[in-house]
Amino acid sequence: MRISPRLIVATVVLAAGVVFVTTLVRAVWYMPDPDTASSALVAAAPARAVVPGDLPERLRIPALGINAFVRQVGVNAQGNMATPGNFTDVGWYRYGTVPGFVGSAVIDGHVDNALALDGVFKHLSDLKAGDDIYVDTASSTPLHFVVVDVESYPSDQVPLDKLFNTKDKARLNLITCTGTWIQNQKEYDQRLVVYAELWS
Amino acid sequence: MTLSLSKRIAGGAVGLAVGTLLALAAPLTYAQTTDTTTDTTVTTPGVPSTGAGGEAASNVLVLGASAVVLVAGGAYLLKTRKQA
Repeated sequence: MRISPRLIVATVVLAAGVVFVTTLVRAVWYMPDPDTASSALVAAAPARAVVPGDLPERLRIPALGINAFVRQVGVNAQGNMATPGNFTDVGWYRYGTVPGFVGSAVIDGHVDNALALDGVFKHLSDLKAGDDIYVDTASSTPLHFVVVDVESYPSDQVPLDKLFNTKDKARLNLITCTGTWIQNQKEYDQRLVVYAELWS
Repeated sequence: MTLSLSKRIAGGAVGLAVGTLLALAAPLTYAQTTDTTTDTTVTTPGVPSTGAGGEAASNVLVLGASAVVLVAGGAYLLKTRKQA
């Protein structure tokens, strides 16, 4: 039986189409990080008197033109804070402190996507002490935070306790990637953290 | 002899139970710190990975190559359809 050249070409074209679409989708959108926290880990989250209306809905940073939807994220399979499934939203660590409450609320966001298009926190390093950050919730006036410090660390030397567990006042810490891409680890070698405190 | 065998079985069961408990407890140890001042346990995860820009070059290459195949193959199919 002789296979038609048109059939071969059509098959190749179809395969190329699948590769094109798959690559484009994977490059533009992130695979959502499934929350793999065990039930015991979830149960260990700090007890707090929070009503749904207290939870963060939008993050606004006027100096950077950011007005992003806040997704709730947990812990991924590697034990790291999970990230939003796209590069335009930000993720609030839902097993930690709620923004506006005493403790360190942590929000992460992507610096770019796999086509090197700017992520929501691409220009986070431009923030400086005194800049304003707002968190909108459903039940209250916007929470106003003020930047007090901007630091970058090697990814394995981020002070996790300072980032997640400083409990002297209501804090908001923003984190994203920075530095150089490490091909074999598929990630950047540094993390940028913006530390902010509740102003009003 | 029977007593010795029973002891061995009992010992094995205890070992299995302890091993199971340790295995179940393992996931709890990787990311927790205990705040003794407030008597609450706060889960502290590792840092998030929030970028993928380093993949851009290879992705652009794949997109370009597959686009060329799509266009060239599509043109061939159109051309041969007209001839057919």
